[in-house]
Amino acid sequence: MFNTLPHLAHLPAHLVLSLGLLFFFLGKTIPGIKKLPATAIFIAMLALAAALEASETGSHDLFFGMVQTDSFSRLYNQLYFIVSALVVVMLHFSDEMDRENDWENYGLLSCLILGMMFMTSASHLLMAVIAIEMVSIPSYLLVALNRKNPASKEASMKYILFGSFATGVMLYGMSFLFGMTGSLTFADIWNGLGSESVGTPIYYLAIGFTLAGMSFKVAAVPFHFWCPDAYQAAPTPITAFLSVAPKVAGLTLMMRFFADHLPVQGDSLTQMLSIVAIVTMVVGSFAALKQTDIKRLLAYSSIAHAGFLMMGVAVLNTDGRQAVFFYIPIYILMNLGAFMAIIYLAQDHDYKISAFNGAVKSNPLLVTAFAVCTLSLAGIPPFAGFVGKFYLFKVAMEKGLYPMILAAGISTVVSLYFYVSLLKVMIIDQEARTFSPLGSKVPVVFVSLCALPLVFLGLYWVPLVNWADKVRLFQ
Amino acid sequence: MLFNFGVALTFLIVMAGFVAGNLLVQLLLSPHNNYDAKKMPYDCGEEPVGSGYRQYNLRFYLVALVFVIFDVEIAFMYPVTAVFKDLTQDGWGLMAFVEIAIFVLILTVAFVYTWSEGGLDWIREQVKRPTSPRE
Repeated sequence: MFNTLPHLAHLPAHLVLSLGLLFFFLGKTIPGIKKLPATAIFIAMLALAAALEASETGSHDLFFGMVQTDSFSRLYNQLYFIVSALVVVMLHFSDEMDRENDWENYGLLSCLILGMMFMTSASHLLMAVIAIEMVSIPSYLLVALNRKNPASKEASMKYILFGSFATGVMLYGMSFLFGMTGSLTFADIWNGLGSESVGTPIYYLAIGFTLAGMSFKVAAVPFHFWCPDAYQAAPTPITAFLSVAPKVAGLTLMMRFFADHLPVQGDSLTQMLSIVAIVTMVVGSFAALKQTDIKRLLAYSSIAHAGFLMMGVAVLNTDGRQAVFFYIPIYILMNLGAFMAIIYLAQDHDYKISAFNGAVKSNPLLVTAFAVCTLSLAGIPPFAGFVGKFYLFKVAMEKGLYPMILAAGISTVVSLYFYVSLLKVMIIDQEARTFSPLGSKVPVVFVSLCALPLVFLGLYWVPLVNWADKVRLFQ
Repeated sequence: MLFNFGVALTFLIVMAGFVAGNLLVQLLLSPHNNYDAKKMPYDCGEEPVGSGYRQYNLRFYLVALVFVIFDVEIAFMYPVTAVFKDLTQDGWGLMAFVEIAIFVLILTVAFVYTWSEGGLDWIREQVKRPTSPRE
């Protein structure tokens, strides 16, 4: 009767996070607990979850095919914990979120992280839907909590409406998949579709609509419209978190969804994914050229990076997955470093690019580290971003997807313009106003610690390749 | 299989056509006799006083929101109770009870949170906190 209860023993980090979720929402109601330091407890919970996740081994198919834990899910879960801890540090140095709401913020973050963990281990369509909603709904709330930007409620409303629409479309596509195959687990769907339905309109419709919901999370192109508004108006630490963590979770869900396909279906799936990747890269790079707000510009840049990562997903083999996992830690460092530098430099919450004029004179070390992060985002050689992009291009080349490589090359060159224009504003332009320092050196150290591995990995990236090699589905 | 989709499509078209046809007939055949009193909003026969547009207090929305959430919870509990006797006879009684108890427990956490944070108070105390002027 309760024969799935032992399965919980294989999900210790999930249990820790669920307990944390309960704690953060109920803790405020109990008078004695209200005085405990919420941040310390949150970080301790993340550390415990990471340790438990690292001590797991083997691959398990849990809860009647709903959840699949393997080295793929374990390594990504550890990345989510690291990202969340870094974002908590960023929360400290930004006053855009009300510190009175810390318990609720950490509760929402716990729910988000739990949802991301389920997105990475989902092997059933309904689990994927539940996990996507578990990630989306707290992010709707977190985007709305910016007390310095009155537009954050509007941005959150746009995000909610768009997310509900995308979920509806995804459920419609999933209902088609269920109708065609009679099952909702990923493996049974591909077996059920078989070879006779490949190329039929309903095949493309069903998989395309399901892909719609996943690409909403990733902010891939037909479903990216919420991204610039939400990123611009959200509190900057939350923007940094959203630009990294749910995006990676969406990509892992895509990788796992498409992993078990039959060889005969591979070409059509690669075709669909490459079209999405091409359009995403091109739109993300070209739309960023005209932006005047730095958070919007970084939003479009993260859309373009999602396109590059989808290039690695589109090749649908282990090499592609390893290239994606190689790029993701680099992407995390680049993005978090860039956002932390912006938090430090933005005074009075003015995020227009012209407000950063001449920042190098008062903060040379910070702007240098920011320049490393930005040039790495652009893919310039001595830095790690170049190596990451190189691996993504390599796996696409080996599969023979030349239009995608062409589009990726064009969008990389185009993106160089707006990344370098950011540096030009900070380094060459005259100071328009004084930059009053925030009084603490920790943000500078943070950005430098993000930039140093980018320099190191750009020259010697073998350790990261060895780590990426350990990411295997079902092992 | 495609034939069945065709049947569904025909059904949709006939449905839409029927509605459109009825409206068209009404447009052509009904008498047009517009006078001012017809266009005023209906207030059970009384004359409306003042403008209908005003800003409502947010507490009504909060009450409605909490109601909807717990009403849906009740709606989920009804099927469980309806088949509970049959489930017990098949030996699934304890499992069903634990499952629905977990569902109610999760919503009870939300209930405790909203009660303690003053979401159910009709009149909330004004907390004066120093906030920066909005831009």
